[in-house]
Amino acid sequence: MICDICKVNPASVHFTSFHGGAVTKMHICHSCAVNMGVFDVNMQEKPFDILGKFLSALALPGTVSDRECRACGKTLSEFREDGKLGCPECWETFRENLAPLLKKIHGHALHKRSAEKTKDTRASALQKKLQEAIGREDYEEAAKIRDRIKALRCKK
Amino acid sequence: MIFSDLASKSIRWQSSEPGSHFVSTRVRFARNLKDHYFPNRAGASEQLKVRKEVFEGVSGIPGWKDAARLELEELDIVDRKFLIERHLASYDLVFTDRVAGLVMGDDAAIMVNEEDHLRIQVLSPGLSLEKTFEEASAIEKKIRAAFGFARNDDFGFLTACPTNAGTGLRISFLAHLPALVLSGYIGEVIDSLARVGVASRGVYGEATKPLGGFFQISNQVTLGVSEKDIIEKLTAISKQIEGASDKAMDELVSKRKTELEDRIYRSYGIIQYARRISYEELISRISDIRLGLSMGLALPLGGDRLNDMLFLSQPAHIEERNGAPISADERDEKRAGFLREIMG
Repeated sequence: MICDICKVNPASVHFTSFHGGAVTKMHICHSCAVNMGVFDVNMQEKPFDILGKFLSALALPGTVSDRECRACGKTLSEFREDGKLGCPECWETFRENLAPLLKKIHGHALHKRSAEKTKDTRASALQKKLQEAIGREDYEEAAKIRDRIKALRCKK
Repeated sequence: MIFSDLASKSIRWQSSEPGSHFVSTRVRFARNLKDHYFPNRAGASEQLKVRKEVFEGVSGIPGWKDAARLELEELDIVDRKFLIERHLASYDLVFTDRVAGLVMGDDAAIMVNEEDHLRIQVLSPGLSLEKTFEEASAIEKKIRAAFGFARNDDFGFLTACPTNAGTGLRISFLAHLPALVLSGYIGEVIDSLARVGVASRGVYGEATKPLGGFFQISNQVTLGVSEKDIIEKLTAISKQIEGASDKAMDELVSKRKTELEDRIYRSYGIIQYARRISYEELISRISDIRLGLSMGLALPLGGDRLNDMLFLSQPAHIEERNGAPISADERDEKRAGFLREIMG
């Protein structure tokens, strides 16, 4: 996108303004923005969008087949490009690509409440197995299961 | 320029304790409405619809009925810069080609169509992580009841950028750490913060450089941790920072007392007598004076006046009060005049 003012440099500052009853979009380059007084000591643009690039570098390599969100049409390769999801549904569509990325960013792939819930579900499944083992008098197996439940509880 | 009145109004979310390490606390929630594309994907008409929905919905929420609702395209460049200086809006909100809006309370604001549909933020003086969180959380709950947000069990609140998912919660505090800067220990502090997943940035947040020993410190991780975890982590970190800063200060005072006092009194003189001063210089002079007050030097300047000097003399604040465009030199002259006015 070329600067609306000098028509030479690529635009890096974007804003909407209201002129003569219509909303117009302005796209201007860094040096025209400086002339307009946009930047002071306390204001800095982000010319590289480097966060988006970091995120795409962290996301899965480009060999995976592309996919498209059926709600908003965002594709996986677009997400790789800008690091932004397009709508709530994208979180479902790209679920398996997001999990490893979230792990790299946050150290966790799941929301905390959900992580706890998963543990609870696992614990109750083990409880059921424990009862079954006791029922068939397989005490060796029961002891193993009990240890696994204990370990799971300790992790909390 | 529509903020000339607000531009002379003191900021309430500043600690008036002049020597304190912690100036202010900010809590921010990233939230999205259920049935709309995120702002980066939505077309102009959908962005407009979201803004309208939020503006109308917010007016029904107790305490927010009379909050100013701003349509960003109506504002000129000085107004936009002013909102950033006031910490009510981000650079990404005011300089965007999206249809953006701002609901503006005194110490709270809701940004509409920033990276997410809603960015709800609350500011308060000093270090008050838990209290500010509770205040922000109460506002978030009311808004949530009115709109319903996009979320699911696995990823929590669904945000446009994966870096904000889960809680969508970013808590930050503005710290003033001149002793760590002067002693050169700040590098170790910043590196160590990064290692434990805590970010340190300039005063105005993302992509801004630290000035005058002021740092904005915030949690990086928002997913896989609870709100309480985030508060506890930052509380622990703030205590350590305070300890490190006190230690650096003791060392400075014992080894370089005269040098420090000379620096502080010179800065005081400049604030009092300068006829032209840039904002960048002002921040570093105010930083020196704050340092002097924390050392117990007898400088006849209270915290409230220092805060006014620091915040009401920002570039767009001066331009708003002036009411007409002004050159950088004229602005620096007006700033010096404003300082003398405050000094009385």
